[in-house]
Amino acid sequence: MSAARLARGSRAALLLAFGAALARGAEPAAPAYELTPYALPTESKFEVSGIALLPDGRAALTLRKGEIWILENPLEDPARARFSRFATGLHEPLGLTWRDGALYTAQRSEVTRIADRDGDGVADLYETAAKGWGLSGNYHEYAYGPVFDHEGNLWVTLNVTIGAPAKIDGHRPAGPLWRGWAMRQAPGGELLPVAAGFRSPFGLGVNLAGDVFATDQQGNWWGTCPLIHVRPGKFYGHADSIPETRRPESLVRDPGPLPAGLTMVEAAARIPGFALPAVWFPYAKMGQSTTGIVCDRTGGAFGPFAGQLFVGDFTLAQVNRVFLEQVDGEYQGACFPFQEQLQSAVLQMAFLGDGSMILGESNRGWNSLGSRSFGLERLRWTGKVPFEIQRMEATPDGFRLTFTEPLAGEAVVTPALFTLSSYTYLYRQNYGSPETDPRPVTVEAVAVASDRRSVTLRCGGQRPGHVHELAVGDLRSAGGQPLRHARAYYTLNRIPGRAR
Amino acid sequence: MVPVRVVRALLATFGCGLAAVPAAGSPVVAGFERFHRAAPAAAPEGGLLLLGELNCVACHRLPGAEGLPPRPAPLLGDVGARLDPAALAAFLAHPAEFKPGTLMPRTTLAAAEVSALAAYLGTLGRPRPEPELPAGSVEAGRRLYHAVGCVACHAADPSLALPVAAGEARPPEPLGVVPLALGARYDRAALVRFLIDPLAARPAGRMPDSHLTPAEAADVAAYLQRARGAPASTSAAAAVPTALVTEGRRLFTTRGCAACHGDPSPGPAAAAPPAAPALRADDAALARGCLAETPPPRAPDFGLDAAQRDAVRAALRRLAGDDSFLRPGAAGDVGRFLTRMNCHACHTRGGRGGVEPALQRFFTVSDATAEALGEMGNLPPVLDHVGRKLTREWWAKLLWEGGGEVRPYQVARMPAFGRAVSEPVLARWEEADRREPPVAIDVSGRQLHQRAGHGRLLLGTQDGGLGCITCHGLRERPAVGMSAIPLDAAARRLLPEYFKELLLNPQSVQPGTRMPPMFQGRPKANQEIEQLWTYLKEADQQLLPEGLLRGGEYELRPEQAGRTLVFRTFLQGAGLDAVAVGTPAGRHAAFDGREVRWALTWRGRFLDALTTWEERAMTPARPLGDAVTPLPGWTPFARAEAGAAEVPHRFRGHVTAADGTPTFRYEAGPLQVEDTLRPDPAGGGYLRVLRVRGGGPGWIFRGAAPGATPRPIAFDPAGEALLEEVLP
Repeated sequence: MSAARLARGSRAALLLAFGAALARGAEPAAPAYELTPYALPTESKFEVSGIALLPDGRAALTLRKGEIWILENPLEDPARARFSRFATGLHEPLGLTWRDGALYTAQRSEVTRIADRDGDGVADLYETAAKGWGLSGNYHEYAYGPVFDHEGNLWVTLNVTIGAPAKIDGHRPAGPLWRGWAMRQAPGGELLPVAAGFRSPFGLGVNLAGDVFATDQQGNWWGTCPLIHVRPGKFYGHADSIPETRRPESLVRDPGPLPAGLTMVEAAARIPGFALPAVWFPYAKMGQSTTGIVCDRTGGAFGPFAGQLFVGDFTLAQVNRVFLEQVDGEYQGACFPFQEQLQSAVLQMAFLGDGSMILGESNRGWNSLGSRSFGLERLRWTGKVPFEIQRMEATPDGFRLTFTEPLAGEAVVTPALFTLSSYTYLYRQNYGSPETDPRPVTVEAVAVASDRRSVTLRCGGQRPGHVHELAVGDLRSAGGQPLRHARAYYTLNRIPGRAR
Repeated sequence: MVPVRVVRALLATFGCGLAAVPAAGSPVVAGFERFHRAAPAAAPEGGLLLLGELNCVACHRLPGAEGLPPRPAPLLGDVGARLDPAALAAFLAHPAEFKPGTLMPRTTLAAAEVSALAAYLGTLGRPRPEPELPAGSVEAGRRLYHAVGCVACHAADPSLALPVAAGEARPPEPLGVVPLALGARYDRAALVRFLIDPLAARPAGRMPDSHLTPAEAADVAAYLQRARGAPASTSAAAAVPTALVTEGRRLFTTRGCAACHGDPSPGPAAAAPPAAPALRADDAALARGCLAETPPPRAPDFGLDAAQRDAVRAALRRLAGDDSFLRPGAAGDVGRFLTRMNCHACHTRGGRGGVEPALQRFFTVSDATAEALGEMGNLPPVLDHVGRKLTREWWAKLLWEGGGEVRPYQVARMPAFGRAVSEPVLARWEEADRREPPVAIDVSGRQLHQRAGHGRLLLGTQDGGLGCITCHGLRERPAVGMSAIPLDAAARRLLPEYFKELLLNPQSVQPGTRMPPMFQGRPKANQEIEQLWTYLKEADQQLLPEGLLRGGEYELRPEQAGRTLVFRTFLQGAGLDAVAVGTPAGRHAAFDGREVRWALTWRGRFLDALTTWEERAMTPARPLGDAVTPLPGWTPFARAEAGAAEVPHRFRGHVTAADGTPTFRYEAGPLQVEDTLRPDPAGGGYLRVLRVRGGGPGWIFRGAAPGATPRPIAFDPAGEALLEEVLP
């Protein structure tokens, strides 16, 4: 008799699961990616803010409340995930990296190296690995990271102060705070401020070449969310960090008085040291609040995007994809939607040993799409190739689109299938910016490669420095699939072969 | 026993055809008794109900009425486990005598045929012992029977009738009481099984699943079988001749049983009987066959009384002339469903139905504070607007999955009726209750104002809160005032448009509700309702609203942890890079990682982590205990030379011992220091131990104890020194 109850229960569970899958808009047949939430311990809120893969395949997770947990069996059924608490008492860690036998996380006031010296599975070493910025007690003074570049330099980014400092006894202000800066520490060296003009640079990541990238948030001075190639000496636009540029140790030149009424393109031309982002994420179309960055180092185990970057989004609870190329030695490229309808704000992603992506989520304090306040999910490639625009490259006279699958043999590819326009943003203290100075870009001719995997667009009216928004009409793969995402946004800082 | 037919003839003779109660021996369809028997004007509707409930369309074709839903008859695959062959034979021979009110018609069967059918049915499932079956208590069963809602359809125990004072009107007897006839005859184990999962044998859902646990089912079974002397004994089945069983199986098909019950046996079935005539509406047809006052031998005899016959005739006449009769619109379809399934035994919709006055006293609340809800507390909810109220997820829970009850104070249970009979009506329900124009609410979570934190403040009892949690509990925290529906499932259960409609004007949506119109006149009501929704959809993961949070809920208690706790936060008295150290001995301290010194000691309670763990604003924590003592603001090491500059101290973190005690590491110029502060085992204060390496001549130590004066450090030849001080 209890069997009858049980049977009914499991039937209900199946139906629920099915209903949930439908509600989340899962593709009905043979999806390319399978999204599964992990069942989480109840002792701590799994507001996952940092993820690091350990050499043995386990995954370490920071929680915003100040703990590190180990996911012992990340590749098994997420419904049967096992977790153990590794470290406690940290102050809002927002990032996690494994390096040389220890975990590194940025707390509010320092980067801490955490290890288990006696092998009992619980951390007993909390060593200050990098320190050298200040706090006023304002809650927005987050520290993000760290990541290590290929030279072993440690990088961390610092949120600006937004609002009043906290009134706190026992705090004696001293020295520069370096809020809104990216900091770098060479092996054995000191943590030094190297780049300025950030606002809320949550995401930090390193691409295959070892270059460091950061994301930032739309807000004042940022018309929309950017992906920034972080380089010493550069100023990226947010004004709060300018006073520290006047200090003798600053690698960033004082940009001087900021002119009013400029577009980003004009600002880049007129403000000394000003650097444009490598990619803009047009607001609402490509997220509203960029977060973590992860480079696909799976060699294809996650699908046909090896080497590309994936970027999380807080408000829209999604993951976007970025293709980067270098033109005249500078990064630029395109962003594409990738995976929507995560259960909560995406903070961080990492790749597991089998090439699956693991995603940490928390929307506490703000708001996001989705049904949960926090969580952890796994996104696994099923092996079915999603039909996507794999790459969008700039050419001297247009763009080249490369697809993940050959186009259908019978497909007639005409210029009318491709709609392009360009715009930029205002550079101003106000919060955000509309798309500014929009103009159409003409697609004059298209040529399909003999392997039918790429299409070259000959265009007219491209403008350096502007976002070039592409919409693709009904185009089918040889397997008959429609494009999973038929949109792309190329930030054309430079047109190849043209002098700036 | 007086033969049924005689009784019926007598009743007819005395002109009791329109009596307010069914004639003995006639079928009891609760909805008919309640709404149609005494209302001749509603005869066609009542007749249509009977056509469905008596499953006329299982045998007859009803031209133009192909959409009339058949009523699934009991499944007989396990009937031999429930009734023994003797009982089966008695039932088959005189269904209405064996089971008063039964919907099963009597068919003319010879005694040999009855024996064969009973023998065959007796082989379908065998009584089986249930080793885990609880014994069951008659008294507990009586309580359950009258509490969980059985009495909405079945008779209450006469011994529980209320005494009525002289001159006081007794409430009218409930209508549509479905006689309980088989319970006493069932094998006990089979009855318990049946009560646990009635839909398994009776998929029609007219006997719904009240979610009884095995123990509860055993209790109710004991109550239902209380008059049966000896405990249930399942006698070993006597050997039954195979030929008899084979003949029974043949008869089951050829005599039409399978038309309603299906074929319970595997293997090829015998030929079905010729189809019954199509139902017609001419006067001659309406007076013969099953509808004849005395049905002919070959027709099944349902025992219809005059009112029932008249109603069926009226329905057939109406069907012949009015195409729309079977298509009454969405509201009509819902109404028919509610009558058919006898939902009205508990629920009111559009002023129709509801628990009969004589039965309302059996519907109670388990929580005294819910008395304040009045009838909304003890009686099942009114079903007005419910088609735009509930999500499909919740409909499924309520009607077939279980787990959909949200009123913990209400003792009666919402039973499950089964998916097959329930699901088809849902779309009609949604259509019937659709609101035009629809309420507009944005629940995307995408808008800036849609923060759960804002919703939390509205729910709470602090200044600026609406105090929703005064009546609505959450996460097993009872409401601080009276008990209304807890908020846990609100966002999964309610459609957001309904949620908003209700909050904007509670009385128009739920007349009689105790919910105050909190949002009337609030200029930001639209945004605030969306904020509430954001919170509610994540309610299981969110910080509880003020009023439900318990004091000290986030308090860190080293004495409970049994080890020293280290906790970094913004800490009043120790600054922005504070590392608080709480010991089970109740002697706590904080190290300032920026200024590189011990900053604070205190005693008693340690810290509350709430603001650190839950607040976006990250309000600095403060020592909870007493004897909060700031320590001197200097760094520990200095050069002895007069006028020497401060030696820069660099914080290097800490290591923890097995008991959790941290040893802080820092550098003071060339000195490498390990600095540990513990409760002093020899006294009530603290013992501070510093191990210093890399030293030489000319260093002084500046202690943190009150009145401590700088003292020279004597390093050994290896440049090491061990320093101690005691802090009070």
